[in-house]
Amino acid sequence: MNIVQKRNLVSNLLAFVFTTLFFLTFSLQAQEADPAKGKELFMTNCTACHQLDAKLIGPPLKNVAERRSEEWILSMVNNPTEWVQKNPEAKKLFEEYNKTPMTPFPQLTKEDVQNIIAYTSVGDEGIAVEAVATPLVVPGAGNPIYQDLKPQNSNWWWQPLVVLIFIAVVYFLAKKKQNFAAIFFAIIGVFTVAYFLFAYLLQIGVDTGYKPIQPIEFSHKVHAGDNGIDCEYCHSSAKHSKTSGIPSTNVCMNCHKFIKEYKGEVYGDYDKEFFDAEIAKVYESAGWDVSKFAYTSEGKPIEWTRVHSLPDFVFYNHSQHVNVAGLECQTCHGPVEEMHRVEQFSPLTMDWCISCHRDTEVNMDDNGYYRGTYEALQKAHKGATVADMGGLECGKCHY
Amino acid sequence: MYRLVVLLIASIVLLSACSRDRSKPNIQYTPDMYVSIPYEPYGLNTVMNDSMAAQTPPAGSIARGKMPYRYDNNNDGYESAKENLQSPLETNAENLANGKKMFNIYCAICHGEQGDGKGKLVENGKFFGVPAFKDRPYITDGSIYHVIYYGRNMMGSHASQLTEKERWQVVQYVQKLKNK
Ligand code: HEC
Repeated sequence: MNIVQKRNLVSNLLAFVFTTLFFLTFSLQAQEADPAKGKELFMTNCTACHQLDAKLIGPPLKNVAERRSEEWILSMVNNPTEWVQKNPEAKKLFEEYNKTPMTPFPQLTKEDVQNIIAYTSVGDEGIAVEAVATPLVVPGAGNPIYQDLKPQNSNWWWQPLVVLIFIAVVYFLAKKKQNFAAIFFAIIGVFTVAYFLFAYLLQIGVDTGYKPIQPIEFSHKVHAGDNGIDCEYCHSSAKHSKTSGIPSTNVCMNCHKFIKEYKGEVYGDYDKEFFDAEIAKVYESAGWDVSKFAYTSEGKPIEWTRVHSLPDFVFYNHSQHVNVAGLECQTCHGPVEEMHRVEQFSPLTMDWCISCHRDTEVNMDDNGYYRGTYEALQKAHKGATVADMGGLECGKCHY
Repeated sequence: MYRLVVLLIASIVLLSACSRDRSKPNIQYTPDMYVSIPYEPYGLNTVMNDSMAAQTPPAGSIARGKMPYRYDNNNDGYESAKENLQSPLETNAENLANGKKMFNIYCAICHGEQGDGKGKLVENGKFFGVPAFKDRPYITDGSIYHVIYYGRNMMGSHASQLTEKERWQVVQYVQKLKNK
């Protein structure tokens, strides 16, 4: 018993000394390489296909140094095609990952690769974090007009109150046989009511401020504002077609294949979990399985609620306004890049269309139509507005 | 007097209808003239099984005036396009100008306006692994077109957002950025 114990003690001691020695050398080696630099390189070069702990297009790279030698990794990074043919382990990996060849990075030096290896060993925890995310300042953000558009007539109760007061006054005066005053007040009352009645009738069918709740809490402010994605990136058919196009989910997936969680600023009553669940809805719609990193099911289109709609008896074409006239989307849709949930900005009434056609001068110089085909027209109509060119003809929009 | 009172009360009722919930659309005067009888783009079409007016074209159909793309969406297709696929457009200022416009809308958000891989999404820490075109010296007209068409690894396909001509114009502009 005793002897065994002693032996244990000796071997334990030996093992301890060796492991400490081993770790000392190891950490000495690691100290030369800079994991922070490695992280930077990893982020710009590797993350398109690799993560530290999860399978992406390529294998997870956490602690690769335990599995492969430095030479192995360097060969794989600098010339993967050749290395896959030479080295059986590399070949096995290549077969395992759907025979997707790795992109060569001949520009990465031995030192770069050492830094990257250092990063894969220590991970994000091993690096003193600097605050990278500086809050973005979007011009005009915080404009109270667009922040939270309350219903315009939210304090509507004073209107019937005014009417009631009028009735009371007229009734009181009539009872006192003050006929002249009663009629005077009655006339004022009728005009006031008529005024409001007219205002009410005028807004029928006008949907300014319409702000429906959508099946996904998609924020235009986060996408177009904070991240500066061009409107046409998603609404890509605006340049060629009558409709501006609601993007199909494959367009969302161009970015959200990578962006699995919400890292921006939370707003409203929502928290990060809520937004992560909203992103998961995109995956469900696309039929994308995050853990397998593949499209596994049929997918199902998202049923968005339409915000802007013109009556059927009027024609409107996006490409004509976006491509030919060169209007900014915001001219009609307002500061969408500041709206979390989109609302209708312009009244879309005929008066609104016509006013713009009256005021807008046609740009004839950069327009192939006038430059090439109708040069004479261009000369004759310098400085003409849309209205001068027939933009008020009924048949232009109603046919 | 009595009539006046009735009129006023009636208008109270009408006026109180003024307040409306902004998450619901307003009432319409003549809905039968507002709502389209033909199917609207993205609208309902109850005749179809999935009730959608916008249907995906049947497999194998070719849109009018379009040519099918003959390279496969795999690495062999990529290599083959890289070697064989040639641009049908000549390089000129007009093509480059539109290529630039399209690049700045569809690619610059990741690749950066200079093609240096420092687009706004990358700078904001939302998307990583975007290469600078200079670091991919082996790309050709054909391979760039192929990558726009099908995407590659983490980059998605941009075929649905760009027409064939626009893709080739973007290819020209990418080459210009790469060789700058
Ligand atoms: C969502 C971000 C994103 C957008 C938008 C994007 N790319 Fe990429 N692109 C990437 C990533 C990530 C890679 C690296 C893919 C890889 O692993 O080779 C890449 C790689 C490339 C390559 C090199 C591929 C090769 O053969 O090695 C080209 C060329 C390219 N993109 C062109 C474009 C063009 C043109 C557009 C615009 C139509 C575009 N990209 C839009 C993210 C993007």
